[in-house]
Amino acid sequence: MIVVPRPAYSLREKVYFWEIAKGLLVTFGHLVRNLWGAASRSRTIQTWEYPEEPRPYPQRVRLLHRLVKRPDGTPKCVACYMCATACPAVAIEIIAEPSPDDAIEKRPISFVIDELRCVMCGFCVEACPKDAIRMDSEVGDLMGTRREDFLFTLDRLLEMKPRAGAYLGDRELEAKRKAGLI
Amino acid sequence: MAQETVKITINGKEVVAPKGTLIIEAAAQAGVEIPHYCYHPHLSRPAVCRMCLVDVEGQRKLQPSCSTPVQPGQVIRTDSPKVQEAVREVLEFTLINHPLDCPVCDQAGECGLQNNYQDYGLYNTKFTLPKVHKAKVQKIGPTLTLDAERCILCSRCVRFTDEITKTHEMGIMQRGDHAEIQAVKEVNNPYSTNLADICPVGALTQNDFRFKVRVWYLKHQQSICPGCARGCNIVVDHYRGEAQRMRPRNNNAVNQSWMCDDGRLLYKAIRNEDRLNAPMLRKDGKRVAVTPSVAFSEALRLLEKHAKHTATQGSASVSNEDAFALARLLKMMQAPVASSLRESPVGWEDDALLRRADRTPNRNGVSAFSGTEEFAVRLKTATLALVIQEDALPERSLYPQLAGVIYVGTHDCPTARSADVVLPMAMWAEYEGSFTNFQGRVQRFLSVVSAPEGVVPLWQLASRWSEAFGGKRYASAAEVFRAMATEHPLFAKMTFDGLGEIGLCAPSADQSKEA
Repeated sequence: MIVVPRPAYSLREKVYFWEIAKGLLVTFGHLVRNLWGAASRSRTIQTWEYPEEPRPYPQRVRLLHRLVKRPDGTPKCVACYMCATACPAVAIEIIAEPSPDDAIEKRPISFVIDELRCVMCGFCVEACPKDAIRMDSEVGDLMGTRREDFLFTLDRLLEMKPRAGAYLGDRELEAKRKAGLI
Repeated sequence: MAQETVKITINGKEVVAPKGTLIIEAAAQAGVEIPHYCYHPHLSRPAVCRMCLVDVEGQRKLQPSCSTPVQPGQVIRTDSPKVQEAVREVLEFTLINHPLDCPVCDQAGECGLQNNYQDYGLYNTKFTLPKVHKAKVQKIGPTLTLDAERCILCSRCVRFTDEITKTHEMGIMQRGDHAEIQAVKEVNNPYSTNLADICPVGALTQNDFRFKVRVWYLKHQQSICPGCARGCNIVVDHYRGEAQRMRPRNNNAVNQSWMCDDGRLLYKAIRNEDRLNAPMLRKDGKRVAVTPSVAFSEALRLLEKHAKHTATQGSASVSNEDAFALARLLKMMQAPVASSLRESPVGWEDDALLRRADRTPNRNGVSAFSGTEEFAVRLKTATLALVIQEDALPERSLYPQLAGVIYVGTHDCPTARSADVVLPMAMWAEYEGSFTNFQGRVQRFLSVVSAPEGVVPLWQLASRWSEAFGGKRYASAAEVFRAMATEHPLFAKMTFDGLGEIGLCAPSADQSKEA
């Protein structure tokens, strides 16, 4: 057993008031800086005025899903059910139908993600063989008053806009995105 | 006569196989799996896919195990580096022009290429040239879609149409890279969907099942096709409580590996719009839905009141257990036995392969519990009619002395519309039981999906009614079968579980009725 002796207090510490004043100086220092320097870089306060004050997202954050379109506006998705199979929350419901275009062959007639069930794990994005589903939309906050508000249908998922500056999590994909290929 | 046997060694394991067995079959019996595409137990063996190569000691070259019979003392290896390399190279060659269609391909999940790549391939492709493209999405018949690009030219479909149906629709055209499977005429023979089953890749897929469910979601249950007296052994694939497709199951004594196209669509009747889902009573000329217990008691009241004057029409579509329990009920009621079975409604001709003219699954079994008198004759004196499943009494007004009609069946029909009590019963896919096919083979089917709420099989209804007449109530189909086996010679020495996967033949029926 090792016994560590307590350090002896110095005279200044024993007086006590000096140390109190030192502590209060730190407290008031923060107060002043955050009162007048709220917008400045010197801000240290940890609470944010959300949602008036938006939070910058990290580059690789996963936000709500979106479905990617082909140049002609049809969904890239071929209803292969890989995402639905990979989904640990069983949040994705797909119904497939034959596509009129024989080169595409198969397309979703219905594609619904229940965002309330979604656990934002990103497995669907990993599983997609066509890069048709991504979690790089602008929308990170999920609000609604009814259950249906959280059921994202095919049309709604196709309308979701990509977020500027999103990083796809893969150097090759990122290079393609910058080159305007995807 | 004892069969001559041959002793061989496969992967260091001693195996005894009948003389003339192919190496691939002997290996399968010994639990050694040999990958293959073109080999099919019920087709000829052209040995074209070269996937089943094995090392036979003393032979300079690798041998195709699908066309090499076993020889005494043969030492065979399927796991040597030489074989593994050869199989990997053959697979890579097979896949050279195969498109990476897996996301849209219906075969994905039960694909010979996917499975064998995972088990024996796992190479990085050396092929960098563009692939040869061929015609996709060809509707070659009412039941099939052909994608020539996905084909690996195993020729199973060609051999099936040449050897089994003898309709010769499929052929391989061109040579080399351009060799392509083609339908030379519309594929609409009655067994065409078997092509989708035997196709080891996604080249031939079934229209009815196309894009419906991904196969890895499906659950499987062994069953018997109720489409005709053949009683093809099948597997019903189901998903979320709904049957999705039916496919044949191997039974060499009944249907080999095949079934007909009409049979495959019978799962649709389980949930169609005519299905009776709730019991109904007739009140003031109108039918009102009631709870199962109300309808059950009302039917029982009628049966008790008219016991001896009940005319019963049985059905050749119900299971042996159903027919037995009904016969026991009638005996307890002291009513005459069920009338003779009605003729099969829409007849097929018996054909050379599977289909039988009799389109009911269990005439052979049910007729053991039925009389020979016509239902119409018996109706003239009866005061209560009990009709099972058949549309036997569409014109009730012809029999004014009838005080009541009880209809027990699965689907709505004119008889059900004029009945006083309508009791829905479970369909073949919703309970377990047995059918006796035309050969006298008793085959078991298991419950695939659950019946609509409150709907039970006929044997349960009959055994519950018989309680009122002093009978015992059966707890399970196996218990009914046990009682049946002790009472009826057709089922002597059989047990319900003993029927197993391929069924049993009564010893007497075996020789006389084998086709």
